[in-house]
Amino acid sequence: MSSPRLREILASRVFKLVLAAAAGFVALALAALWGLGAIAIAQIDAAQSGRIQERLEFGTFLFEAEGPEAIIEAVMRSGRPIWDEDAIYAVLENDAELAVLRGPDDTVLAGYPGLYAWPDEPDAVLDHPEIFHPVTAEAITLGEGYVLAVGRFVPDDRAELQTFLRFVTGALLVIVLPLALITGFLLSRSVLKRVLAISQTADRVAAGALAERAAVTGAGDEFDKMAGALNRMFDQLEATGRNIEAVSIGVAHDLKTPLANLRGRLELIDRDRKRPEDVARHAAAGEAHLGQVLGIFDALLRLGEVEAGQRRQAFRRFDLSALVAGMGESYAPLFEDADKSLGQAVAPGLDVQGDPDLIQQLIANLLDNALEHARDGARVQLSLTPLPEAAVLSVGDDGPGISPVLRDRVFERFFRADASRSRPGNGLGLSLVKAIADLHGATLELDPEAQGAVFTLRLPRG
Amino acid sequence: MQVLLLEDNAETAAFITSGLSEIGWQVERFATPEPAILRLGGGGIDLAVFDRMLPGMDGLDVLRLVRGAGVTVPVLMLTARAGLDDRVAGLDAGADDYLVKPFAMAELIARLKTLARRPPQMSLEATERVIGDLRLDRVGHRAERGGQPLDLSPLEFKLLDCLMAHEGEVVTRTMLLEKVWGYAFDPKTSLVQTHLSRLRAKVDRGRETELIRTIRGAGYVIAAP
Repeated sequence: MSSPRLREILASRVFKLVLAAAAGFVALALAALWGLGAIAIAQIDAAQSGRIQERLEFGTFLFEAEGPEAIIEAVMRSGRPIWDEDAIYAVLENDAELAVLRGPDDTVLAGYPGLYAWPDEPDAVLDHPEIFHPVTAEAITLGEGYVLAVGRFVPDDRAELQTFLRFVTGALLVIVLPLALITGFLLSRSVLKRVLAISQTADRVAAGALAERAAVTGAGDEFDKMAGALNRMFDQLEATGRNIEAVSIGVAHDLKTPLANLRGRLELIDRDRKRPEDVARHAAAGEAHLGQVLGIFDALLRLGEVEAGQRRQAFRRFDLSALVAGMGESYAPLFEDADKSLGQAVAPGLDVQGDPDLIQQLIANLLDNALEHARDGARVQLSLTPLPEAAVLSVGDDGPGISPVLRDRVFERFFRADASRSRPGNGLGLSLVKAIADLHGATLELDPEAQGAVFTLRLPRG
Repeated sequence: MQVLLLEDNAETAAFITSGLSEIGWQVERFATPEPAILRLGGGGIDLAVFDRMLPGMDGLDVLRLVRGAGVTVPVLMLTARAGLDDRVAGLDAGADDYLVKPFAMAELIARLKTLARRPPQMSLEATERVIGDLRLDRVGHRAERGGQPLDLSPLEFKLLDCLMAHEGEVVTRTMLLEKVWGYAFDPKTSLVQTHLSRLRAKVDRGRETELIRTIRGAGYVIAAP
């Protein structure tokens, strides 16, 4: 398993999605933060401005009612109209207002002379040797050249809030984005690693290594599911490949032999044309060879027809018990003649849904198989047993059975346990049995528990 | 016997024509459906053999046309397809029998002779069949020969009944599989031969005359000597 390359990681979907998601989260968080911050600051500013306005309105009232003297009186601190520098400390401490009243010739009549604020000028300045705290101030012209300015120290909250906002913004950008980068990298690398492992396996299978399988970690996660599904596909692919191989060899071998024999007979007919009885003999033998070839084609066509599933329209309910019992009766003499015996245990009255013609062929093929392969003197048992959900049909002998190695392969096309192919048969009978079982949604197995070769078919009763 | 053969393949047509000529039947061969349909309407035909795959037309449609026109001549369909449904479709369309290519000439002749001998209705409904000293009681499910009851299994009884219904005619292995067993396939094993030899043992063994005979390469025939 090779590790994913950087380029592959950067190009991966997971990486891009993690980055996009992180950027989205940061943007959203910043928008919320700054929105709420702006509201809080506006509230602080409004409160400040409200108190300043209050004072200015009061000053205006005093001026209009009693003239500048009343304002001077009101602004006075410690009995003096002009504040010294120490008075500012008290203002700062008490969260009070700064004020200054300037006369028509700009002379300071009362308040702190270092507060510079003019009407229609937004910026205000507090000139103090030690206090550099920012202030907000507003000024109005009272009439006759008198200008009253009122100010307040900007509360610490406001500055703190702004600092906080700036800090959080920085932190979000500096910490979260790189973190997202790292997370995305690690995440996409781990995902890519699994995906690459699976896709590389698929590539190897595609390149011909049909036995390769994707690793399943056992965690039961989505990758295991994908690997499992792919492995099942590979199994099918491998089986199909083996099947095609077997079919090619089977067709080549099983067709070639009778055709070669037929050709031999034709040559013999040519040689013996003066002896009619020999010609008749050769013709009969040639016909038998040809019959073998045609039998293989018939079986292949029937197999194709069944596997294509077209026959499902012919499904109907029928009495399986009667069908099985009838076949048992038909076949029993054949077993006797072959020095074998056919025992029957058929439960009566079992109905199933299916194609009776095909089920008949299925049972016939199983019985043909037993007739051909069971040893002499064998006791073959044909039984039909009801289960709540299925009808269980079994055909088995009491012989040595089929070796476990070959057990899975007996249903393959052209498979012959006898590799020399010297026995009769074409290796298609059990393939057809399997195809008919599949068409009926039935399970078919060669019972591994049983002594002897026992084929068990479970046909759903539904 | 006047046979109409509708078959576009020249080699198959020649094979069938020569086979039927050998038993003294006259064959009129047509390669296209239209003149054949006209000829059938004209009368004087005893039997018809249709190929299913014809140029430009399905043999089944030809058959439907002919039957629609009220022609009752027995028709045997030939087909290259061994599909299970094809047989049912052929019989539904009004064919009297159905044969899958490739076939043996003996099989075709046996089936055509059965068709030619109609009406089968009567023989199907008979309550008793008698051939020589062999009697078959179809109501009581009993059989006897020379007055002695024969101990037949139900299957052997059906087999004998089928043979006797075709007295003097060759009944082929596949015909027996269809009629007695109801199998739409050909088992690899010698199912028919085994049961027939058992039946023969019960009917003919130890008798002076043999009623059931094997016709090599064709089938079986039951007939009084």
